[in-house]
Amino acid sequence: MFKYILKRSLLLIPVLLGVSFAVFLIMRVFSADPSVGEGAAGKYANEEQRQAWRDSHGLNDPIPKQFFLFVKGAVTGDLGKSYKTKLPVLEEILARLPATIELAIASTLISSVLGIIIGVISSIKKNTIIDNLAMIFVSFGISIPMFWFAIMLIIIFSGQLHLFPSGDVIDQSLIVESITGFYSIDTLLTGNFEAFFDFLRHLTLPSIALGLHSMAVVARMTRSSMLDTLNQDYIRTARAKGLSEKKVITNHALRNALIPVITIIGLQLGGLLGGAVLTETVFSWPGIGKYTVESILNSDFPVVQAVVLFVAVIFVITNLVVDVLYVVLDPRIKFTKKGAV
Amino acid sequence: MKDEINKSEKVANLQEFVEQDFKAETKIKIVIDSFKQNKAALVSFFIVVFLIFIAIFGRYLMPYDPNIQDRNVIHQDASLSHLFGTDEHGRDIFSRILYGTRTSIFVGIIAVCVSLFVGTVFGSIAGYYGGKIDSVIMRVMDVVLSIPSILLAIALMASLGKGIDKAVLAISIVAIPDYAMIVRGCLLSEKENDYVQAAKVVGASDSFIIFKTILPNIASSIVIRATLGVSSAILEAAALGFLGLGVQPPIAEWGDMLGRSRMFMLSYPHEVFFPGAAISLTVLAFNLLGDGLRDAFDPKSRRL
Amino acid sequence: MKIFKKTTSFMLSLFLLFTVFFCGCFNKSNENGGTEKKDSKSETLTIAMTAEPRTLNVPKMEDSTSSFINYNVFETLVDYDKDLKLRPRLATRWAVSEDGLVYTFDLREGVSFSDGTSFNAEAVKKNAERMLANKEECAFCEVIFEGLKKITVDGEHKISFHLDKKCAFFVKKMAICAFSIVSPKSFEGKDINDTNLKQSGTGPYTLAQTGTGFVKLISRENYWGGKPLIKTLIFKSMPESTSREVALKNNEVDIIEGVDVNSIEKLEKEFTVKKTVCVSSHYIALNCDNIENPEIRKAIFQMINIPEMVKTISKGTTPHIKQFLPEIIIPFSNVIKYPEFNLENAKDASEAIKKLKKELKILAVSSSGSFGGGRVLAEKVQAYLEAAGIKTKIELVDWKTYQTKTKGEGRDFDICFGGWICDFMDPHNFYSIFSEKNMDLNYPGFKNAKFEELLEKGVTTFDENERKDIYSNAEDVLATECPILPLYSAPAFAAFSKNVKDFVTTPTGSCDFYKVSKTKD
Repeated sequence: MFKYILKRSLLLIPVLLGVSFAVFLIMRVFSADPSVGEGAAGKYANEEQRQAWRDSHGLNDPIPKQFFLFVKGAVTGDLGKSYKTKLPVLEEILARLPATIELAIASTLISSVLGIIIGVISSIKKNTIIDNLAMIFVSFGISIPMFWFAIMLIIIFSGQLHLFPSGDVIDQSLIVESITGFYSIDTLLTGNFEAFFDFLRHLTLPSIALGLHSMAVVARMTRSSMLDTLNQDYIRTARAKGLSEKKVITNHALRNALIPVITIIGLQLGGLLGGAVLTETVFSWPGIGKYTVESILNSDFPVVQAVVLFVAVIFVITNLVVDVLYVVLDPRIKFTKKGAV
Repeated sequence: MKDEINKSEKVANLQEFVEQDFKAETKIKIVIDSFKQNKAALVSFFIVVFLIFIAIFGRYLMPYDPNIQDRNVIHQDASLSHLFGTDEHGRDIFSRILYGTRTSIFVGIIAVCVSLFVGTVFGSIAGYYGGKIDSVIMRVMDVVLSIPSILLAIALMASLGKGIDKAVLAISIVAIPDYAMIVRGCLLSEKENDYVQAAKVVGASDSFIIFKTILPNIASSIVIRATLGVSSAILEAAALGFLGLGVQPPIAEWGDMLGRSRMFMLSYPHEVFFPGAAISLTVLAFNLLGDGLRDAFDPKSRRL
Repeated sequence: MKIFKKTTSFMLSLFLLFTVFFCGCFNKSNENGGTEKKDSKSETLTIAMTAEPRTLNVPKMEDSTSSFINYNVFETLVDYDKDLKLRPRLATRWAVSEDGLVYTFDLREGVSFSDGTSFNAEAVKKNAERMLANKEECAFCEVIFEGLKKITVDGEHKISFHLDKKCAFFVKKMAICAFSIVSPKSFEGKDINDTNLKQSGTGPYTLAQTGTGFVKLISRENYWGGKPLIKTLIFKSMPESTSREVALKNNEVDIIEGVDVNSIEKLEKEFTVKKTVCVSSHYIALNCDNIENPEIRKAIFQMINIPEMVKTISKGTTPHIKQFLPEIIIPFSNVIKYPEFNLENAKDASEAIKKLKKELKILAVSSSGSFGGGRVLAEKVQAYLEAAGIKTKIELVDWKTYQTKTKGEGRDFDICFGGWICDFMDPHNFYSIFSEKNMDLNYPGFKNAKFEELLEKGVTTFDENERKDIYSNAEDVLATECPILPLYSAPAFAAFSKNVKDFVTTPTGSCDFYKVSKTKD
């Protein structure tokens, strides 16, 4: 067991190095000259001063050296300084990370719970109207662009019905203290329930928008997994034993059917991080997704570089965790050869 | 006597009939039959054909020039003269959506072709030659896979610059590993087969072997993956356009139209609704088509 | 079994969470009638702004959002009234010496900073010195104190500024927000970049709290101008115009600024929508290095129908301007007109232009500005030029890239757009952006000896009529040489609830919030 984890963890390193190199390549080598309009000389700089700026920022060093410094910096936590605000990038990322995490968690909760419920119900009521409706919903959920769905939600629920706000994370004037940086935790810790509910109100639409795609995928997976499971022999045995259908489903079928579903939920995380970019932009949610888009549109390359690396690291580690979880839940996997990779 | 002749005729006919039937039961016919039974897939097939038709001939069907600005009718709601209304410059949205079909479909298909080609090449080399080359290529694929696709596409656009051609490139790069994996997997399993060894002994070149072994076995997977790939490519292109990274004005593109109209979303929801609906419909059609193909090719999934 | 039990309890807790959450939702929407707040609602005014203040550190201020907020906390020596005449604020009277080199101000007596110290001439001097000592940090230092020789404190409430060169608009420069007077006690001995600086001012409000995207001000009972009617001011920054509108409709804010012209009709049904004229000029600029011949520039401008263009993009709310200098400063009556829409010469002109360049590059900033931003302007100009037979290509960039592509040697465009919101209300401030000495702001790269001469003269001429002549000549030069074509003066639209009274903004965009009140509804 541990050997497996160790082996997979070691495999991470070349992948992460590769990601760093790819990111580095994209940003440093292919991008526009960042020295234009930068540095102390700023807007008035002539070519000499710009070269001096490049020298001081190590941009004229040979590429391998630059890459080595970049990796060294990344490992020690120095991801450079933002061109725009001149603050350390890591600081900026960490300031915005909690908001994205809260959004991701809320969205995953909604999509998993609702997705599983829909999947289970449609598998039980297979080929009825409920099943067909659910499957139509699933098809739409996968096809609708997340950012369009987000806009539609805003038009209906914010614009017409005035139930929810259309952007931002919270009414900032309600907050007194920031302890962990997580709005949900901070407001609860300080007993500021008004702010907590305000946060939930702001959280609703973005998490639904972000979770739509996942919900559809989870629902579909749950349904097919349940159908597979329900056809198994041991289910027939359970029924033969005289157990009620409900008990058959909940005690026996669900547990096993959910195993692949959990993997899917884990795998959705990558899409979540990508989708967060768009959802956060539409809702002005102050997370790293919106930060990435802003930085790209502002040509703030150190930030883009760092964020992509950061997200890749999170994604890779999460996949590892999901794989390990899968092995834990289903001991059969350990003994069968895993597929390619 | 007559009976006997008839009987032998019947037997002969029966034989013919059985032979014919047997020939007819080739894979393709099975596939097409089961596909025909799947109503959703059939409908989506026709929608896709329709969309491709519009992509090619749309310019003759547009009631207005998509770039002509009519200052008297800005921000108009859907009406008889402007089926989908007009935008901030008074341009007819219906015409712009028709033009956008062309952009999206072409981007989708070209991006898929590029990633298919490159992915196949890499996958073949990795699968066939194995060893170090395989490891290296797989690590590279892992790297690409470890960054969420939209994020990677956006990051690539940051360095490549704006423009629809660069968007196609970014989207293609992101999808390469998908095809590479399929091809590699297939080659790994087929590599050890007897007929491959035989071909080698005879002196067939590597590429000949690869094409002979790939084509039959994974054509179906590739086709399915490519169809679904078109829908992802269209979604990604729309996302890039939404963020302002795709086409440059005044070219009509669904994502760009959506991103632009977002600031009027409360005042003029029709400008936001139609481009998004177009994207959704197109992606849905390709998705259902891909699902239908998958169900048709794979007997196991058919029963569900 | 265990997993199942866990699942059930998990599901149950989720269900509870949802219920609690929904209760919270409805609680919030009923709040207007239901729950009590610490401050009664009529004592708090919430304003939604279009951007976040870049810095509230007075001498470092340079953006309008910071000025808008700080206008209520700190005060300048002088200010403008609604007709753009100078009016006393912290200075009651001012005089210029015969030779035009000494500017003396009588300061208001009996005024104190919020930290208790008295406002006097020493305080003003220390503020000036602080700015001068930190030239790199303070964007307006150069603008305000150009040519300053020395400052003398002539009495407890009398101060003089000695210049080495006459400056006809020196007193107007005293209205610049960055030179608001801060209590010396609050900054003495501290570095200007100290983030813990608690500056104290003479204004009706004090800074109570700042957070991400919001600033809270609390009133001062002993403000020299009278007790403020509203106790608490909250400024929230909401960059999305949709969010602002939704917030106004949901009663989360009282006033929103930056209302999009397309939403005015809808908003007017429930709220008051007010147009505040902003003293600014927006224009189309042609790169004089690429298009050297003024005749060709004139021909290009004749292809664009300015009145129609402005009418369309502003939905009829804003007229186009006929002179670059805002009419509220000096309305010219007898000036040469800028090229008007006329397609007669278009064909010949487009031939000449095609020889010059196959395709003209239009550069614009993609993010939204007034009326939808640079993109709208670019697309409109493209359509007009296309109709006249000229091919163009649009390049949309971010603000930072735009700045590098429109300055000095980095200039990379044929057509671009500019907008100038002045620092002080004098013609010089407007025309100087097209001076050779200001290549940073001089988008077209305009170099004209006569123009420079006129600008120089304007600085040292005090007589109003003479100045009017000088600047009308300057306007003529621009109209003949055609480096730019004036578009519009961007108005700002604010919308607010009907129970907000006396919300008035001056042409400079500031508002005396201490005069605003809110009735209970």
